[in-house]
Amino acid sequence: MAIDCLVLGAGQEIGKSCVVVTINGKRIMFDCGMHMGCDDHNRYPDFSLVSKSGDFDNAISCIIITHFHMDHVGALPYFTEVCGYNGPIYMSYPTKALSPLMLEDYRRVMVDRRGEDELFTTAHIANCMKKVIAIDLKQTIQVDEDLQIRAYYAGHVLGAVMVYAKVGDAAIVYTGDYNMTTDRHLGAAKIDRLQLDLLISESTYATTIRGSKYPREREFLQAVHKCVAGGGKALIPSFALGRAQELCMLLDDYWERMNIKVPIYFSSGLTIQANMYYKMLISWTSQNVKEKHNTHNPFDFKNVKDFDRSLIHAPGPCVLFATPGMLCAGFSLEVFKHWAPSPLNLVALPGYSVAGTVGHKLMSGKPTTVDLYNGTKVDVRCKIHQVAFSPHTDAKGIMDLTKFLSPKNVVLVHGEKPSMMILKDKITSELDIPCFVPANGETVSVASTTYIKANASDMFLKSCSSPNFKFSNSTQLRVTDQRTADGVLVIEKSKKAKIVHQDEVSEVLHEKNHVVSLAYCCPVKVKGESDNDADLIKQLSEKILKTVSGAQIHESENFVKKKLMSSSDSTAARDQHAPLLRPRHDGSSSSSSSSSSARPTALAVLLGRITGHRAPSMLVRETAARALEERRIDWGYSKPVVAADILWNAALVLASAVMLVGTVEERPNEPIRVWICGYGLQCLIHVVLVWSEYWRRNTTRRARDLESGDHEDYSVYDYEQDSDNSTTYRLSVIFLAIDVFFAIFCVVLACLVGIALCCCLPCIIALLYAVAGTEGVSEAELGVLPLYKFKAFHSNEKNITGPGLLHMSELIRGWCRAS
Amino acid sequence: MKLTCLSKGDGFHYPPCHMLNLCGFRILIDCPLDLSAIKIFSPVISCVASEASKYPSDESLDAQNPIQKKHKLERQLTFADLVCEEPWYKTVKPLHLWDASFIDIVLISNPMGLLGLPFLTQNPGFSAKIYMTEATAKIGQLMMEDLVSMHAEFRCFHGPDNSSFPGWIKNLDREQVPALLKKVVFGESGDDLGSWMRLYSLDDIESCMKKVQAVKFAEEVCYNGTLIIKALSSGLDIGACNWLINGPNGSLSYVSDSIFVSHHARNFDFHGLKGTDVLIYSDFSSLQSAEVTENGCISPDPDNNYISTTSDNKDSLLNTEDSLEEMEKLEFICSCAAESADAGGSTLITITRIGIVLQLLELMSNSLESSSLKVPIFVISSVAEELLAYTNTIPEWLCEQQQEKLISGEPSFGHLKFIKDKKIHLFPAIHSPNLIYANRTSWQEPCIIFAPHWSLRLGPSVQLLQRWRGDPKSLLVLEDGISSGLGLLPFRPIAMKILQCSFLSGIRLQKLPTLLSVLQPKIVLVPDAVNQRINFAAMKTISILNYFENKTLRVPRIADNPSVEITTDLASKLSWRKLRQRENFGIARLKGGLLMEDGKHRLVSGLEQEESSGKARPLRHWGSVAPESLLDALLKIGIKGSLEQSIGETGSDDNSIIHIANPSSGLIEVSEMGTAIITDDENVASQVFQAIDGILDGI
Repeated sequence: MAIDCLVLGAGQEIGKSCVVVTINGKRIMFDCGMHMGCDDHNRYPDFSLVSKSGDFDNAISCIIITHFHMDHVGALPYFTEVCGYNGPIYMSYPTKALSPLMLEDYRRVMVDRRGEDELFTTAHIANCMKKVIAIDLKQTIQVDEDLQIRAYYAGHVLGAVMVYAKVGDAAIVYTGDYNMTTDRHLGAAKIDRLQLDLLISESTYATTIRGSKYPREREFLQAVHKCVAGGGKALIPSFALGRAQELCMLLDDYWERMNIKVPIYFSSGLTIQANMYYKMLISWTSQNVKEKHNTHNPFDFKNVKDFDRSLIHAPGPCVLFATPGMLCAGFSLEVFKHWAPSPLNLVALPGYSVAGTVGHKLMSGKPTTVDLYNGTKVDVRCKIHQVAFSPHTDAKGIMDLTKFLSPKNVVLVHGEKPSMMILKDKITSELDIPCFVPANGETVSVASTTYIKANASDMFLKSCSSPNFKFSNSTQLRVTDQRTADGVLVIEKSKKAKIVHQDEVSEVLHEKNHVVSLAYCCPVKVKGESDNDADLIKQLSEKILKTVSGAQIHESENFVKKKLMSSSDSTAARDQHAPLLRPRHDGSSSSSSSSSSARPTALAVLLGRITGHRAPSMLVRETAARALEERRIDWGYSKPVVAADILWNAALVLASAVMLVGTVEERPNEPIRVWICGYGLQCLIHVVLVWSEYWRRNTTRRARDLESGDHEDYSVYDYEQDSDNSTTYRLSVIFLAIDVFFAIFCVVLACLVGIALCCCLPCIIALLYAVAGTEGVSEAELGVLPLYKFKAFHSNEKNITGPGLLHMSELIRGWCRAS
Repeated sequence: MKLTCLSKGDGFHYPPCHMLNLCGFRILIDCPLDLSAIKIFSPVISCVASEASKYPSDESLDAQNPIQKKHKLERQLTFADLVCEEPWYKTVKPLHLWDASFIDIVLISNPMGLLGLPFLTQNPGFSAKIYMTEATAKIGQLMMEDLVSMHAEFRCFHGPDNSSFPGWIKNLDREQVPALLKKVVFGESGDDLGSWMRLYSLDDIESCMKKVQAVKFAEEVCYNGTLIIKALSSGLDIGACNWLINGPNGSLSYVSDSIFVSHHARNFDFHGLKGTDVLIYSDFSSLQSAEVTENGCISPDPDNNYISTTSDNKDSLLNTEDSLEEMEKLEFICSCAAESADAGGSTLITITRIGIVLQLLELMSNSLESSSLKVPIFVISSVAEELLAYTNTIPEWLCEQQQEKLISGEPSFGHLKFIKDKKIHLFPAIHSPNLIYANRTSWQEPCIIFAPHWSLRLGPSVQLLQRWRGDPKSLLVLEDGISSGLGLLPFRPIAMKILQCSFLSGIRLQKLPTLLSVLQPKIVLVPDAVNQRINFAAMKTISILNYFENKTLRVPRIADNPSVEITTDLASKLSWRKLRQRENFGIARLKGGLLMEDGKHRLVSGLEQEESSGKARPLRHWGSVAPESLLDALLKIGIKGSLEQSIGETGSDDNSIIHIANPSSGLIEVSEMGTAIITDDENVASQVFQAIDGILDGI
């Protein structure tokens, strides 16, 4: 029992998604896409790996298409019509409705514009779509006896689904492309917590983590607005479905709000037709849209019109959605050719562009010329805006989904190899789930879950359904509930396994129960006559019954036991033996509990004597305070502080000495020289004192470090020493502090003066100005203001001023409106 | 499993209601409202006074005369007999006998079955999980809102009345009240009084709908880990469904009113219902129609061969005869409407079945367009706009023809186009300003109007009927069963043409045996009335039980013992023992924890506590110990003993005693029932125990 996952496409790359999974012998093909960047035979997945003979109907149980993008559905007509697959194909309703449009559009682009051979015809598409069975979200479909599939909402494009497939007990999920955040028109992916053996996830953005979408939306709108405001044309090459609708909703909304009259065009009727589908498939959009649609269908765009080819060269600004996206061929490329040379125009590229397309070239740098398909070169002078609206989930989303589902294995497809490897390591290390990144054509095999099935008896189920707590207090109180351990699994050869309650086992085996009991034989020494043995034993047994619960006493065997024991133990002739059937551990547990209860009291007494009557918390506080004090002093005597102190004082001494020497000739009136000498001397003494203290302290500390024991007396002595020395210490610190304070004070004062001179004055002026000036005049006030002025001029100074002032009031009014 | 049929319902608008006890869970299936009982109330008619005084004046004079009282009882019902009060609504009576807080699950199989639910959810103790399809929830909610808005008219007319006891009932208890009215109010046995309720409010609807869990067709929902509930399309209407419930004790299917081939909703889903253990057949619709047509016992179609393969049977069920008949009916209505429009009369259609309305709208506008008649179509309902918009966004819930339309990019129903072309006009109420004042051009007679409510007591249909009743050119299209009895009483005399149509609203009785042979259930529960009418003799493989209204039927369990799934890693950890006596048995004591997951018992490795306490568990042994073999076994481990046969007092001489002397003294009593090891040396005891364990099988 295993699951084999054969990757036919999108292994370590993006494009032509196709994964064939074999679950317990059932083969399911997920997606059947084509590569948009390849033109050769590599465009299609290598179907020969599935079946050499080409008998696909027997090789594959069903095909499931997750959504209508070409790299997920592109090869389907080829596979069904050319390769001859006739089995069932499952798609969601929107996918079924929209994929023929996509296929037809692509076919036209390929054949009509590029002039290539037809890969499949319109008839092929129609025939192929006839075989498709549409499914709804969460609808559980029984493909055949064993295979069950179910679709979950993926949120990538309209109708995108994740697929859950189950064969027997083994289950997998293939995500297709998905989006974990809510979109403007689509919801976020939604899935139940399932028990999975394998999760096959896309990993387009395996390492990117994206923030909120709103800034990007604003950026896009601003870029487009700026372009059309400047009279330019904005080209948005996109596929007819999905992105186009989202951006269009965005633009339509913006146009409405800003009251912009610039036309928005859709290049082909296809998109208009697609909008029709969107209107009908409201139930597949986001909750927000669903709620709104009762009053107004959000896909009824108000400003959107159909585009005509003649409009390419029409003057004036416009916004155009042109197919196909990525500027790979067709109409969008043609329009690009015409519009690219003008610097007024804008090309907004939404989403991902496959390597090799013009879109990719534009995105990867800012080229001045671009080669088109048949050697034509185009100067690119227009602005290029990259709209990072990807409907794919980011790395965080992939991790979240994986964590949520916690499957037994993960396979990553649909991504770029280097980042996939990083994600793989992340999944393996963070979530501890084996992860695989197979290349095209490789197979990953993982084990699948299987359950062993057994019929359970009612008695077992009943005993399991009621709690059966057991309490045991060997070391600590334990509560155990082992209902299932009452059950016994019985397997008879060539019969189905049965689960029965332990009381039923003998019945099942047609045997009789046999009770094996243990009796503990303990001697009870009794002094007395042998006549009243029976009475004695009776009394004894009553007592035992009272004290020991669950004991059974064999009384009738008195005689036997007595005889037996007397033969074996001849010395104790008068002993009476009462054999007791009792649990053996009873006595020991009670004794141990009594001893353990006695021990703590003894310990408690001992502890009390040591600590005296001081509460332990006091002690702790004292020690903590002492430790703090010590550390503070230590800091005062740390090397840099002492060094700085000494250096500073030495400098002072040096300075005073130099000054004294330098001013020998001076004869000051005051005895200032004495004062300087005194100061220098004091500094010198300070240096010496500090140094000596530092040295002494270092030696004592070293000595203390060497001493291992923590002696009470020593610490007291140490403490006293500290307090003794602290006077000198404090003195030095005060000196130092004064010095430092003066130095800092001088510098700060100088600085303040400088700052005051340089900047404060204009600052203050500005501040005053600001305070005095308008501080938030309300709009109403402003509205009144110019009117008032205007009138005032009219009434008083009409003759004198005239047009100049009128002009000014106009200005003010204009400014008012703007604000 | 226990089934109690609370009500067998009455036609499409009053589906049956059942209470089911399954796996210890109480399941309520459907919670309808008997809207036909509203007929005892008089409608709000603008010119009531003049009408009432004009027509039955002489009779009301008679009523004053006490001598003619006896005669009065047999007299014709008149408009004055109707209760002129704010109406109350009749719910399912036996449902009030159940404590709402003990209901675990509510399954709603069609929008009609939803109408009574707010009465239940008003109960503060109500905590059940409510399942219905998304479409049922949406349409049902709209219907309830429509009902409340139509009822508001009464409230305006009669003024607020908040008494908890209906005053009008007192008046009805008098002698001169016609028996027909009494029967509706008090029921056959006279105890229906408690089932009358004041209508819920919009808030009640909202709080009710908040508790609903909407599902899709064939979506599996798991209740409490035990029951897996699945809704499968029944074809009756958009969103209407049958239920499949899978539990640990087998599967159960509930077949409500169903239509095999539908023209608008998704077809009957045979596939999912196949091979269940129990099938509850709850389609009473055939009874009403059968009563009219045939009185005898219907035997299965003679041309139906039961031995034929199921696929043939399915084909016979899926033949489109019925649906063609339905289409003919609709076309007939269209042609009648066109005729009367030709003659200058208007048509009032009071049918409120959504599927029928949608098809009629499309047919009618198509036929009008082709016939170049300039007759506008009005749809007057407070929810018309929302409902019609909604029906075009649910291709998943519709039949295949409609889905084809989706694929080709057309809207599911044609009305969208006609609304845009101003051929169909939607108005929320008859007094909408757009209809009467602002845009006079839109109102034009003759016209075709779709207006609720089918009971002719509520909504715009009352006013319109009042307007046109004297016009012999006009046409009134009614649902089946309205015209008899009280239905048209307030509007008599009527000069209008009346077209009463009955639409297929369930499985035809003749098709039941074929259906059962396709679905192959093990036990079928059918209503006794159905069983009387049909000969089930041909169905030998299926056991058939009858159920009665208001009686609980107990159904024995037929499935095997429930199966338990054990994970492989746990199974590999179990310590297996081979039995000595029986070679082909292997036994193991279980570990882990038993869970209920997805309707299956599952044994998974739980908290590992076995190491500590596993040894303390008493062991079970079975078989018997032969004293000789025990002696041998003891010798092998170095314990010597001697055998002594003792004769028990009861006469059974099987008690044997083995004395042990070496290494310490002790004795072993061996009997058929058990073995006792008696010694004061623990080592010896354990050695002896092991020796016995070696002889016996145990676990």
